[in-house]
Amino acid sequence: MTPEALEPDRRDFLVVAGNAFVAVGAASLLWPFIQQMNPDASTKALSSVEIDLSPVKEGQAITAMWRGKPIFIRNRTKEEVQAAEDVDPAKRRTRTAPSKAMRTGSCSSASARIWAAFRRDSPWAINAAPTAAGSARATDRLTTRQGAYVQARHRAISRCRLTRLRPTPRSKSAEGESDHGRLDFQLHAEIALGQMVR
Amino acid sequence: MGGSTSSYMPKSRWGKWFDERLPIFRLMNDSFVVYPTPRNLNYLWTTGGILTVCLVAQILTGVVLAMHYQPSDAGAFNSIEHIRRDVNYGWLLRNMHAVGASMFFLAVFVHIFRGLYYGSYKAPREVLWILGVIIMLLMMASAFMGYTLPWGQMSFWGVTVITNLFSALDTIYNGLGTAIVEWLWGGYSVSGVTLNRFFALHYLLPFVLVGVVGLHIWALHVVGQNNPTGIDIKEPSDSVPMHPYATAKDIVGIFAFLIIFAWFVFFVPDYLGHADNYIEANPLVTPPHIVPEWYFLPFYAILRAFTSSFLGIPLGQYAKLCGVVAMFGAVVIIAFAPWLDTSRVRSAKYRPMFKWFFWAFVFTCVALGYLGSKPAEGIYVTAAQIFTLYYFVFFLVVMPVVGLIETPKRLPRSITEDVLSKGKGGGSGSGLPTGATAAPEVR
Amino acid sequence: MKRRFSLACASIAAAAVMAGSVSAEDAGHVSIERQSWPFAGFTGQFDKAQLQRGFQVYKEVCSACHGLKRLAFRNLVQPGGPEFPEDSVKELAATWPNQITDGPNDEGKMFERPPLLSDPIRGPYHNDQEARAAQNGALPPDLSLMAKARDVHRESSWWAHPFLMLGDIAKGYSEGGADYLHALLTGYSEPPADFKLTEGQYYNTAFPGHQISMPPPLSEGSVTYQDGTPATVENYSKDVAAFLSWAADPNLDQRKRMGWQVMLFLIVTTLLLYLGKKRIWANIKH
Repeated sequence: MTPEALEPDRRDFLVVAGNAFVAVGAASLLWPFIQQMNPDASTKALSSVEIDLSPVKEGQAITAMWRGKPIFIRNRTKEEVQAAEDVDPAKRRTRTAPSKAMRTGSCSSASARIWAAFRRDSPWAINAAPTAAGSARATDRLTTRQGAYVQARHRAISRCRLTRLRPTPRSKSAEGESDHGRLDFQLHAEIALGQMVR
Repeated sequence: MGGSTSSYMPKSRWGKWFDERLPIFRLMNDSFVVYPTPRNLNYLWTTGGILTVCLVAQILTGVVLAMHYQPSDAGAFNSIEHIRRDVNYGWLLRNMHAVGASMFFLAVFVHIFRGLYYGSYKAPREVLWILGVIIMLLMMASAFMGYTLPWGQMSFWGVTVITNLFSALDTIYNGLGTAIVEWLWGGYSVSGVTLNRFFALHYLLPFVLVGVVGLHIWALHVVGQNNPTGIDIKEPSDSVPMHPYATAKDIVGIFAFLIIFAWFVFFVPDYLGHADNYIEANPLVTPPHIVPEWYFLPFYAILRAFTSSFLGIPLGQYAKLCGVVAMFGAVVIIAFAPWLDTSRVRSAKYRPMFKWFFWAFVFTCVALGYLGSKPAEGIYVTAAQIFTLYYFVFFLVVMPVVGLIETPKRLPRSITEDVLSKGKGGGSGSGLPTGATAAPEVR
Repeated sequence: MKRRFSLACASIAAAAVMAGSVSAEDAGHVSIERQSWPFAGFTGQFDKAQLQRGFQVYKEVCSACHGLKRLAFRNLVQPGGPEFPEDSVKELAATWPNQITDGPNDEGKMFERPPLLSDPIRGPYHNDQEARAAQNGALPPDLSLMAKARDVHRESSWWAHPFLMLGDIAKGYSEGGADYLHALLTGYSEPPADFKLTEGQYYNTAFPGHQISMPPPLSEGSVTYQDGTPATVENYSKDVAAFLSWAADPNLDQRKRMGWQVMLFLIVTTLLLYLGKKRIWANIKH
């Protein structure tokens, strides 16, 4: 092609620069198309739930919905707490570290898994919905961990207040900053005992 | 294409392997890289590339919007607000799609006017031209149904008015029009049932469009592009390979177009729309003025020009039917241009008499657009009737007659002669690019 | 022909820019003047303080009859809007008089509960019929989209029309709704002598038909601003019109910011591509 006859440097630079700008434009145009499939603001706002635990007496349990799944919250009697404590550690079908548990894939459900562990002497137990793998899970009491936490695929929030448990990071609000790219991590959620949670 | 041999040589072994099984890269190369393009095309010839970008943009934004849109009468308006407020970049995607429709029509009107001026509809480009009219009809159907989807006041009432037009057929055969209208509606008035099916069709038609555009480009490549002189490519110096010459020009045209597009998307996104469409559809409240989107206004003006009388001719009960026939006829008549125009000269550049009638036609279209936005009363109706008359006179009288009676200017012998005789001497070379393959078939 | 065409374009553009904002008053037509808004034009952004004052006017005056159902309480916290602190909005929501219907509860009944941050800012009426029953047949519309559902049309001669349009587009004029709302709220006056005012209606210069069911909602001193802004009807009108503009278009700040960045990018790229094209075509006479 005859254009070569012209000073190649100047022509090449212009054309290369122009093409580079077009490429950058095309790439940045792509981002909104990808991002629009991520959870939108209303979904993120609904992704946290505040649960009023004051009417739940000892021995009672309630079911609340969170992210489309039921959460079972039970106010255990002293006997139940003691019974769980007395279980031989060797026989406990629980996990010591949730992250490890996730890696071993003990929850077979593909959807967000939610479970919690509490101080041994805490009367509160929160369990996720029974998975296809077995409804036995619903009765599992995961009590080995100090403190309470809720673990899920994405940013897990449950709006509660610090109690007598050891200080843990405050849960962040749902509609606040988003966190692109971090898929699995834990947040410590503190359950208020017998308090109206707002 | 069309008889010339392909000079494509795959560079890699893999390239050669693939070329023996599905020569798509050969096709791309022959059609869009080495393809001989007239060297004298002006920027009006970038509208083709611009329109392709528009179609792709509408499909991409449309598909992602459809991920959030709900095509029910209860959900539609709310889902649009959800897109505007909550969906990540939803406001941007929605603006792009709405403005994109307007930009699509802006580009297509320039594209068609260009074709009318330079005689691109004349032999051997008749099929190309007819495919173009089919594309425009598909665009109009798509846009009409798309505008229904937000289910605002204008959406609802615009659909009600336009679908009701088919009842004009009742004057020809009793009950036929009503049957068609109720078939379109899926009921006895416009409702969520209508909305749902319009959504399905609105999603479908753009892909039909892609197919027809493919045929359009194929038909173009068989006969080759027209050019401002209207003289076909005769010798190799008349043309340049499409890449990098035409592609470089196309991309400038595309980006210049994107500037206008972006200005509307980011700064005046609702300017080309109507405020009433931000009010939820209400069958009990009729807006004071029902108007379609701006690109339909000329046709709307033609429709409403046929009142009880047209320029003194009484129409009686046939007024509505005449209006409907005229409105559709205004689009269909464009397809007949290749046979209506008797001139042996293609380009209006060399047709001094036709040129004036052409610009009067452009003015007519703009005037009809303005009149379409006005209430159908008083002087607006009279003006609309006059301009409607000229619209059809342009095709039915001007094209046949002027071609016979005018004296065209002297044509250049070839594209090269025309280009070289222009102004002062340009670059050093004779302007003969290497690499152009054989010219397409010249009839 | 190209040269003539570009000359025409240049003159149109010049005329458009000079056309300016004209508001004509014809007999029977409403007269609405254009105001200057902080969020107008190419570089416009909302004034946060104004949005906060506007919300205060809405809350203390308008919310008695009008809902804002497409806004959620959380929108009052997010960037680009009034940006109230989250805790105060939570409290506002919890004490909002119009509660959210929820349920069914374990007895199978629907019940009302105070809104959360994620809930909409409801008006006092559950549906149009309830509103009409309470308002003597009039329907106070929801205000979430009012700033976009209204516009200002300028009367002009047919030849001036395209210049005025181009002028508006070039200036990025999209505040017709805000202009209308301001004109409406400041437009209450005594009807002219020959005007027949229906019983129960009020005369308003901006409202189409000049008769509106809503009594003048604003009066001097009815809302006390915290930041010391004078408590005039003019200020209330401007502030609430600005707030409603945000309510209808919460993404305006981000949109315009992204807008000039995109425009800059496109102009630079177009220029580069054009120069590149000239280079490529340098040897080819065309």
